[in-house]
Amino acid sequence: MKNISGLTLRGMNGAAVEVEAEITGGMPVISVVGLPDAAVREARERVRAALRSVGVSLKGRVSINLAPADIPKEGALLDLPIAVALAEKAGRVKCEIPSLYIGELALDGRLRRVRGAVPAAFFAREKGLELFVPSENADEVSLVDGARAWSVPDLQSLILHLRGEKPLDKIARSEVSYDEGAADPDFSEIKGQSAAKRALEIAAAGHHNILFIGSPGSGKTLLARALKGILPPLADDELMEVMLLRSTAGLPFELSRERPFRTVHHTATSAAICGGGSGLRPGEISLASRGVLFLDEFPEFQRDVIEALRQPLEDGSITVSRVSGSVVYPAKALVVAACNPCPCGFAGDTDRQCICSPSALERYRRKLSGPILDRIDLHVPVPRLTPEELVSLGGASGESSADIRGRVVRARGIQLERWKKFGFHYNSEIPEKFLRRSAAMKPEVRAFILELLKRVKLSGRGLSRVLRLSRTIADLDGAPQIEPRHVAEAASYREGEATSWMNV
Amino acid sequence: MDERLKLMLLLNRAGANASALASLMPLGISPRELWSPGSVDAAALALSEKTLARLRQAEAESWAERELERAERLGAAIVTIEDNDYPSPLFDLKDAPLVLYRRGGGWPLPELCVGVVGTRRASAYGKETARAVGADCAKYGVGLISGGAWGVDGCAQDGCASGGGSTFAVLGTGIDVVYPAANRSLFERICERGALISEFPIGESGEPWHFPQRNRIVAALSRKLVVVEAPVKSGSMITARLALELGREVWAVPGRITEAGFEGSNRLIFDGAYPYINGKEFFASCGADTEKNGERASDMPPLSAEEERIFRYLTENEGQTIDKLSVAVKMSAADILKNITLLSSKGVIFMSSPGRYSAKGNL
Repeated sequence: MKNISGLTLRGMNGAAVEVEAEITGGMPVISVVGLPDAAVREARERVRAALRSVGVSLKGRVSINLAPADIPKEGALLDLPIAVALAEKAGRVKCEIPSLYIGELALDGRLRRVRGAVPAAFFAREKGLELFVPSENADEVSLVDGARAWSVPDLQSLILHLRGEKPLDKIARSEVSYDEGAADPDFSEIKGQSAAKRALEIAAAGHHNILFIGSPGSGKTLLARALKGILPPLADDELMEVMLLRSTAGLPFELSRERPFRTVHHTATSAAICGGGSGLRPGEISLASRGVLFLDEFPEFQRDVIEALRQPLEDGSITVSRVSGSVVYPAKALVVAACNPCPCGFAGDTDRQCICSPSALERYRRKLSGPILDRIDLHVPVPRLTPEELVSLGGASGESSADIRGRVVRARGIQLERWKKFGFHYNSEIPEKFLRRSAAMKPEVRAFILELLKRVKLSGRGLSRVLRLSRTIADLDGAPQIEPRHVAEAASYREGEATSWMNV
Repeated sequence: MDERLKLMLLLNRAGANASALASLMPLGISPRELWSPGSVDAAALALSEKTLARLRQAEAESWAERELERAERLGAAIVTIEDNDYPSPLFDLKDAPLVLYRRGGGWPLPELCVGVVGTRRASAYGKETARAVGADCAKYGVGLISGGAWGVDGCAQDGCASGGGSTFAVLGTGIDVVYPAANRSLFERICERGALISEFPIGESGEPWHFPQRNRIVAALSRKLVVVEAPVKSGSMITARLALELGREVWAVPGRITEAGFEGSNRLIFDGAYPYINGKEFFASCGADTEKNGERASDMPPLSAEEERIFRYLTENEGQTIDKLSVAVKMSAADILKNITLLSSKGVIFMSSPGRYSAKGNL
């Protein structure tokens, strides 16, 4: 009996569920014990029908026990182990090899796709179990190195396999190629906006969060989408993490090393963004991990949601705690925020009149400052190009995403090398105390900064952000030391500069 | 307390102004009779029933005594129409305020003051122009009168205060009320060498009708009035009309004819106001020695060759994006951004709308 295991998810990890069944005489009834959730409890109807389709009729009183008894079980992926346990009890199959079964049953015995196949594959590999997964999940499982897994199209095939009559297809290991297809959208397809493109390149190189400020139709969303195309493709361990998260959340599988891009609407709850629910599912911030989290209409977000985002982004992980337990998910997303310059969106526009009252403007401007922007290094104005300007830019296509990606990868390499001994990866992570000491500045930079500070308003924190950016710009430049020109460019992205035109 | 002062405070509180005082004076009523009338209420001949009722109510509450205490706590001074330091240009008004509350070091007002008014929802051009006028006021030692509001008012006063000039904000609220709240730091700076001025009692909030009412004071205090950017229906146009009625010179900054924000100010020019085409003519007309002081060229900070190229292009083409600049001066976006920081820190260019840059021309 010990040979039949199911799985329930605890965050990104699986917990084994031992499935036991007993059939005794009496009233025909099936009961499931062991803290099943609604989906598990309803499994009995699906299992009964599926078993009938393969010729097993359940008679009498059937008890199904899911052990350990004290952890809650959730999800339809327990259908399959229950069915196998009952089939064994009914004498149809013998389960001699310790195996993990996951799958949701259709009434006619087919298996449906489930969420959690990748965590199951990791779990099975770790415990040395054989794994049976629905055929629809086969491609994601195929990426897990060293898993012994079989693809199960329906219950009948599984029974034939277990009886040794007709073996199932073993899932072969497959690789995701590093094929760098054309980015979509590609930088070369975006007309103009060279300042914003440059800012994105810096953001990608140093993992700096970025804020776009511009009128509707200026192309903020398009620019944000283009960011993932200049990030280096996912490395193997990153790919596994992304797949684990996607599988845990039940998102469709994509066979690609492209980085995740998640858009969050401002009406999203903090549970949707940070993760939660009784199933402790990952939130958008985790699904965007290793990729890009796009927050459109940034000032419209509830302040507490933004505050909730801040800590995880600093730590690179988020702990989701509920009554049912607590799990840790990664949260290493690069944040791209976008906002209109004013509530109506047309303040400062060249051919549309802004209709906002001065006090509404001021309220909006206040939302665009303060602690929520502490983690955003790049503030970038995005002008709405006039039709004449668009035409005059003509077909002059700029650099392609692949070219820029090359520079980003090189700059990232330089950073990894430099910060290795401190345990950091990117310039954006460097705490203040390391920054002044280890950022390597040319001697004349100090004087330049002092001169600049006399003329532009910059807080202490703002200065640190400028220095971090300067380091990244110097890395893109291949310069070992920060030079005044790097600082000058970095200062153009400082907080408040992008909204300076609306100052009193 | 001084009975005359008390009388002024109470009359002002009741909403009476110089015209009421003028009709009250010939009756020869002593202040005491005013608030505790004998068998014949002679004051009723001069003042409306409502005014009298409010005055007497305030007296019964010892309002004047308390108001003095409040003013002292705030560090605000009270100037009545009978004081020597009451600004004499206000006598041109029939309805001059009986009492002015003032806060700040600049008093009495400089001999020559100009008013700068305009819309609260000013364009970047309007704001920059206002700031330049303010800065020139500071440079030539001319006092600047405005309303301390958003947009043109605030920018002009900011430009003047930043240049070390004295500027005066005539408020539509009590002297202690900071409206708009975001101008708090500006108000503090105004108080250093100028003053906040209000005819409204302490603590009075900004009722909509206060603002047109205070505009008469702005108009009267200004020898010349500059309207920077004003739509047809606006407080600035009211101020301009009042200034004309008082015989003050009105100047208007020309704007694009396609923009509603400039319709009023352009119309003023059509109707005969002087066009404000640069600071030189205006301040020369004020008697300032613009020849000696006004050499703009020497104000220009030294620019590097790259900066020079960008600045040149921007002086000829306003509101340019980084894209256009990088094509025009053949530099990468990164280099343009670097130079933009340097140029704007030198104060010769500014961001005129999101992501677009303009040169600060010969304002």
